[in-house]
Amino acid sequence: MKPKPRVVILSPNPFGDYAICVAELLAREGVGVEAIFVRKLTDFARLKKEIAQEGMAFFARKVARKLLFRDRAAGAAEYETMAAFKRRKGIESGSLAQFAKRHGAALHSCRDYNDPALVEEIARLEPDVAIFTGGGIVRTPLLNACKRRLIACHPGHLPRYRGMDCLEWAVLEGCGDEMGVTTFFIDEGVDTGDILRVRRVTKASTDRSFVELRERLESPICEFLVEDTIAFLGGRLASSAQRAEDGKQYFLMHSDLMRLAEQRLAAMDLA
Amino acid sequence: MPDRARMIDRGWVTDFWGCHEDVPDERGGDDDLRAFLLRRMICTSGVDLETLPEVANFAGFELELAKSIVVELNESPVGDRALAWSEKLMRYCEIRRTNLESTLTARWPAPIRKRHVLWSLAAILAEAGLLTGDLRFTNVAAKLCDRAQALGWPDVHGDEMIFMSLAVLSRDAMLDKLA
Repeated sequence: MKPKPRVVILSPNPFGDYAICVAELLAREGVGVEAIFVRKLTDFARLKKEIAQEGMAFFARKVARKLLFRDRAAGAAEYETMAAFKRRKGIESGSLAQFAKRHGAALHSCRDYNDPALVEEIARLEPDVAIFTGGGIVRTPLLNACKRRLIACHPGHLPRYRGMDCLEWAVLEGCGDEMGVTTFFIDEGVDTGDILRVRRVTKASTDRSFVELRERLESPICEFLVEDTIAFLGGRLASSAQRAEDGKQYFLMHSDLMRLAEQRLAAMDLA
Repeated sequence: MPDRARMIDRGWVTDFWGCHEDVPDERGGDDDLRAFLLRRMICTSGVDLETLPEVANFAGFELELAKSIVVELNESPVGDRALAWSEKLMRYCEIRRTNLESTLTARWPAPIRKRHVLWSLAAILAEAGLLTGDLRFTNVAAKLCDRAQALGWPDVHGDEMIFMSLAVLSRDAMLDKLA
């Protein structure tokens, strides 16, 4: 009998619906979730850095939307949010700790994914793949511990759009037909690793802003990550290398450019 | 972020140079004002423009070099070395955005000097954005303009005023193209 594929999951916080849904859907597909590595919520140095990078207002909105009022947001939305997706799929775990308890997975808390103890533990577990659900820079020792099989889903069309705000950049540059999401293997560069699959994203009637577009894409991204991980583990999906010259790295968009991108999104035709 | 209502825009820059006695009467639109500012930068630099080092590196960046980059960006076709420098500076400013000002302070401790450097970086990237059409440059230039303006601007003059004017004109020209 073929052994059950084994994975580990990296999650940026203990309550993230994205990581919970990925873990649950993989487990339902017969994948063994061996361990979950969760970054601590109360790392003040990291919080300070995130606030400095994103601005206090943006950071507060993110915390409110993702952690505090996620169910309320789900009720008001015209599209399927992660919370609604979770309910539809009958996923009951409210935290990764609950998932770990139900499925017998080990749960490790860490300040940083590159913590040597974490790297050592992943190397010891020898997972078939590791799955990244967000949470900062990953360095070479961790990539090597995962045998360079750390899968993520990038909200952007690789290889062309690497880095930050890639959906927004595609629209601003007049390349709305190049909005996409990409499953790929993380390497040392910024979104430069081998690509598993690119899926085109088209504008929906509920996409009145990029916030709504991104929220609408959260559950499909979760399903893409699970689907492509399983296909890769089953040998039905191969990766292909990117060439450096096939894309550019984009950075966080300035508010003036973002306003123009929002206007262009509003003017875009529906698919 | 500075109050947008009190920020410098193209109108402010045009008015400033419109009152300036050295500005030729035949000066027309933004492109003419940019050309005038570039000529003025070359004429008043007091030194020969430096040849850009082939290897772009922030450690080698100085204000005199900034002038050379801006001038070489305005050559036709756009100079490869100037583009390489612009790309390097853009990445440096963005990757270090959370501690950029402390990095600049360590190298240029006087606040006025630091502001001058910020305007020079903003001018390079805004020019690179306008001349290549690559919005990534304009994006970082806009952020640098905000930072430099937050340090105060009524006492800006000389080369710094030229950098500031080029940064604002080129940034706003690109934003207008997008609107």
